[in-house]
Amino acid sequence: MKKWKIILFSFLGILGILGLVIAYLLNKEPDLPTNLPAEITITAKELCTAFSENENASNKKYNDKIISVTGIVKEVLKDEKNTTITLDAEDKMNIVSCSFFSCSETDKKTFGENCDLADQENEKASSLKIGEKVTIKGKCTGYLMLSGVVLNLCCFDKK
Amino acid sequence: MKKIALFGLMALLLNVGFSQDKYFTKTGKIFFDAGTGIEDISATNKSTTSVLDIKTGQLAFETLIKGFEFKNQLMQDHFNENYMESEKLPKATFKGTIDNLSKINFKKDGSYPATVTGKLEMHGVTKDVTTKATIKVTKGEISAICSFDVNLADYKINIPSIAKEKLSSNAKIKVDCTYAALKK
Repeated sequence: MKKWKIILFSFLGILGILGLVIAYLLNKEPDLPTNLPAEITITAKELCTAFSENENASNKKYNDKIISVTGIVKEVLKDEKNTTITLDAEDKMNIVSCSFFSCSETDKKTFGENCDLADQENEKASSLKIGEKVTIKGKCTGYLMLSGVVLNLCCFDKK
Repeated sequence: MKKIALFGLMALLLNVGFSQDKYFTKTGKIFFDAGTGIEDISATNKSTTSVLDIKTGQLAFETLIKGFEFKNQLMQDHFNENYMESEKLPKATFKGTIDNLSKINFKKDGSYPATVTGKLEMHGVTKDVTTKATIKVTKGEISAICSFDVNLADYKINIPSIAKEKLSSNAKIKVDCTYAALKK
């Protein structure tokens, strides 16, 4: 094969791969923590203390991270689909709120198998008892006065 | 301004626990839709907090920008980084009152039209907002639904020309909260 042909085909090959990568990135669905490892492991008390002492610094440190939090279940809040549990931080004013993820029909197309897994976790969370000790994994989104530290897309951390 | 809004919210929230008139939620939902029909640009936040005082009609909301979930990771990243700058401005708040409180009977099951007026703060800008809402009372449970449009430019959210076709300059916001009585 002539040299220019090799160059042309390898160039087209690279272009093709690049195209696929870009298409993948453009259409990538958000990650569910179900199959992601926790980046930070902490107790509910430590996490709340960090946020109540310095919210700005804690936003920088914890937001968008997958956090594994251990604590005692304080409330189990359910609506039609989603379960949210709060963890006691041994502090009257503070809690960690963990919002589980339940899939809608359109989510099922986006997340596939992960969706079923998330649904199972959501179901499991709804039957938790107050006072149980649990370790929950979720994505930290920040701090609210009423909810304390908020974790989204939660699941149980089985590690 | 932000401090005043925060103080107001705090004052309202700190009142909580001293009366039977306060209702709250930690799982309020906000839907956001800024698509023009070309692409689905919508997101849901399922962990909005809100306090409602049925005696005074005061209403407060607090939500985290990073809590808005999109179907597409790249869109979510753009929303947070380029448009809402959620690293710097992590929250949106609303503090207002129900104007026609006397027309709503919280003791009787039913669906009541309401008008809510207040101040919405997001992306570091505070604006007056008036919106129609529906308040439903079902067996002691109170739910509130309302929809309104937000002009993104009003909140200094700039749309680059490359995204102008896909992204509407008015975002549709829908709020759906179910409140529970606050126990002493």
